[in-house]
Amino acid sequence: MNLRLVIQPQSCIGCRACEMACAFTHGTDGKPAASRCQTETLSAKDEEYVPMICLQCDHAACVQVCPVDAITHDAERGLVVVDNERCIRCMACTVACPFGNMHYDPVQQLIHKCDLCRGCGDYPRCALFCPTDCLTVEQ
Amino acid sequence: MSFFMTIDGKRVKAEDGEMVLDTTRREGIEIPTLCVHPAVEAFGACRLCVVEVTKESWGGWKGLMTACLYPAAPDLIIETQSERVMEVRRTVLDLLLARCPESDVIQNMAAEHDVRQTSFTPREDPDKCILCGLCVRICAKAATSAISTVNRGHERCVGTPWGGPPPDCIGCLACAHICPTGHIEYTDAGLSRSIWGREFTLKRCGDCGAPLPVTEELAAFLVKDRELDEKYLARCEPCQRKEMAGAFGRMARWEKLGLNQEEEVSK
Repeated sequence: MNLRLVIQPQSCIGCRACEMACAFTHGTDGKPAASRCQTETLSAKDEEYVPMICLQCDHAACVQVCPVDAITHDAERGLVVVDNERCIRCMACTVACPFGNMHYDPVQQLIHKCDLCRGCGDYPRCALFCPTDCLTVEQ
Repeated sequence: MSFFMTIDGKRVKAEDGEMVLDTTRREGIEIPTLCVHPAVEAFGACRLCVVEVTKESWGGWKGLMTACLYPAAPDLIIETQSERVMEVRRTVLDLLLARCPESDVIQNMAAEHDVRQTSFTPREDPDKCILCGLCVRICAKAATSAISTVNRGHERCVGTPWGGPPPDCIGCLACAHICPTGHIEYTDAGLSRSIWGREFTLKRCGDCGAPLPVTEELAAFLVKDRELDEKYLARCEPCQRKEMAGAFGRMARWEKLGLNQEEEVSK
């Protein structure tokens, strides 16, 4: 099944439910800083917010920069996957991603990024918790 | 092409071109290793993954082979827990314990195999290096071959050219990360990083000036080696995220106003 997460910032109200949903799905303590989805505030006055999540690029900078090819683009599932067993923690991908969507977790010492909740429900939890239609899933 | 082998009495499917260790890992059969890492080719240095290999046509002869280097083949019969295998593993751990008595990784692994104390004379002035060569191999594969094993016999160790700070090192810390026993020491604080006696300065974000988690040398190496545009390794994660969020936000604003980009530009 090929899922696609659609982001429509015009509907974002900056509630950060996606961050919490992500943090609790991929961790136990629900720290928003550990979330793979980060909501950027453009203007609090005009209520302009943009949730930033990995866009699963076809020709991704993180895939290209990885010196041990630990990051691969899985065309079949429409997913960019990090193999943390193979990763050597050089952190190049966290700098290379032009969208700033590759994160490093210093506690677990892992690179983490949005995996569209593969292996934990197989349905993006952020979209499930989004109260507006900002985050939706296309099949 | 796939075929079947017998591992510990269980019939398992294996693929052409893979090693016995790959098959056992996929099947969830545990074999201890120290010198295996998915990013580099197997090397057979630690000798902990020995298994007993035979075939029905071999007339009862059984060989002790390293699973990481023995190619899977049809109708192989493999034993990973036999008494002979465990005896070899205990001896290897006994030797490793004499070489690196202070390594907690070796201590724990030995304790799991019921080796509490080495029966050999422990090395005087020991360190934690088991000479598995993972650091040398990852440096050759992912970086610049800045380090190598030097000397021979009991003097063999991992070192740098002429023992000084390695001129080719790019400070990526891959060797320190991959070392199974944590032998390679480094410091990484603030804007500076040091490893193998060489000092590095971290690259700074082109926008906010915050230190990036890569050194100048590593960024330059990746740009050249991975044929990447320099601009990809110039700015920090939050700065890039902020800028792209701004771009998406503008697009959302046009959408709200019912405009498209061309109309906005022409105004």
